[in-house]
Amino acid sequence: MKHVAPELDSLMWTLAEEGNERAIDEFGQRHPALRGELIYRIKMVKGLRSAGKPTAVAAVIPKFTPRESGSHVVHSRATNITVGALVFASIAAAAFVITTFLTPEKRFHKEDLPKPPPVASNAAPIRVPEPKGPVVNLAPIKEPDPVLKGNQSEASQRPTSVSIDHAPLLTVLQMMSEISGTQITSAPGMPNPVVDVDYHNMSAMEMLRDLGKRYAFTPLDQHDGSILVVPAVDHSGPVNGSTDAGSVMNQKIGG
Amino acid sequence: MVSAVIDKARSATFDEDLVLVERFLGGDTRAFEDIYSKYYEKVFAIARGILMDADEAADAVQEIFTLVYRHLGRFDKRSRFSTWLFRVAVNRSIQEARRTRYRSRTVELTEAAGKTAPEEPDTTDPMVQATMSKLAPADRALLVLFYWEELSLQDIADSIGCGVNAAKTRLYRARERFRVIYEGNT
Repeated sequence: MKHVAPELDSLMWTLAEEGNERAIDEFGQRHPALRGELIYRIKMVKGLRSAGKPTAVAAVIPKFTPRESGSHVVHSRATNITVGALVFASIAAAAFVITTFLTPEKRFHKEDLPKPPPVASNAAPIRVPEPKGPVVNLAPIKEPDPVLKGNQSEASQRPTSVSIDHAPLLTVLQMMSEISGTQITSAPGMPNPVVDVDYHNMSAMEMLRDLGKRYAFTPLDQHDGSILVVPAVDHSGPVNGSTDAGSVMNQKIGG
Repeated sequence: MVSAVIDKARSATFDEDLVLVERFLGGDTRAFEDIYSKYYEKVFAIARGILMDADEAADAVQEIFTLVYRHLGRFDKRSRFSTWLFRVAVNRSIQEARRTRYRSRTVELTEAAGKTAPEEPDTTDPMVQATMSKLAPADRALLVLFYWEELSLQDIADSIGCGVNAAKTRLYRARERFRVIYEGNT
């Protein structure tokens, strides 16, 4: 078909549908180039209309008997929606079960934990007297039993009381470990001055933080029931390795 | 004056259908037989135009009137009964046509057309039949309502459940698709 302006296209359809011969002739005289197209459309419309003439089958009207299936047709959409919802729910439940029971349990490893802060390399080495008391075991860190992780992690927060006079720091840490039930591991290079401690109703972590401020080490909660103690300077607190902290401790913490 | 007479005649038809509906809802089953015999041919034509098969159309007509028989109480009387009936017929026929679209049809269209009127010569243009069969059921529905049933755009809009402008646009597009396929066949 040639490109026809929309208004002429619309007019040709109207003429073809109305079948006014006079109007068709006038259109043919004004637009001789579109005469063929108009005749073609008239034929098309006539063909369309004649296809809709009643047939012999339609002429014989059969007796009407309501069918049983009629109600099913009406409810088919609702039924389909219900069935679809049930199928979707089943798939969702199956996916949940599969992902719940087949996905391996998430385990935390040492590598996943945040690294401890680096030791200040330009800090002046702290001179501490050699310990005369018992030596703390500096064995490698043992992996805690994952089943007990939760309980052990709570242990480092459990309030306890520790009171020791005139004992090496590493010995004090070992005793604190035993009393609080928290595994306290000292890193190599820890200072070991003789200290006095008197803490009441404090968690092991709080005690170690306080001690660390005075004896230049940093406690790191491993969140698995153990605390790693590394020699470091906590810039937020005073560094005074030679101070006898016992009396200060008694004043601050009291009982 | 003339328009008043036409309006009066139209409302008389409207009232007549409503009376039949009310009688049927009141328990008079013969009223439904009157509705059935009055609209059978129109509903059959709609179904045949959309389904392109006389046997399937005859089957669909029974389904359509069964739906109407069971659910006539849902007719809200806001439109004419015939419009509501045609809407049921169009929707049900399109639904049936879509369901059977992928069913393999080995019967040629000319044979199918011959089956519809074996006693009289078939005057239907086979080109028109072939073109109609290539259209979507929804397009066939529009052409059937406009060219076969000669409904107004308003009635077509009511029958397919859209506005007049949308019906006009859809009809124009359906006619264009018909023309393109018809030209391709010639």
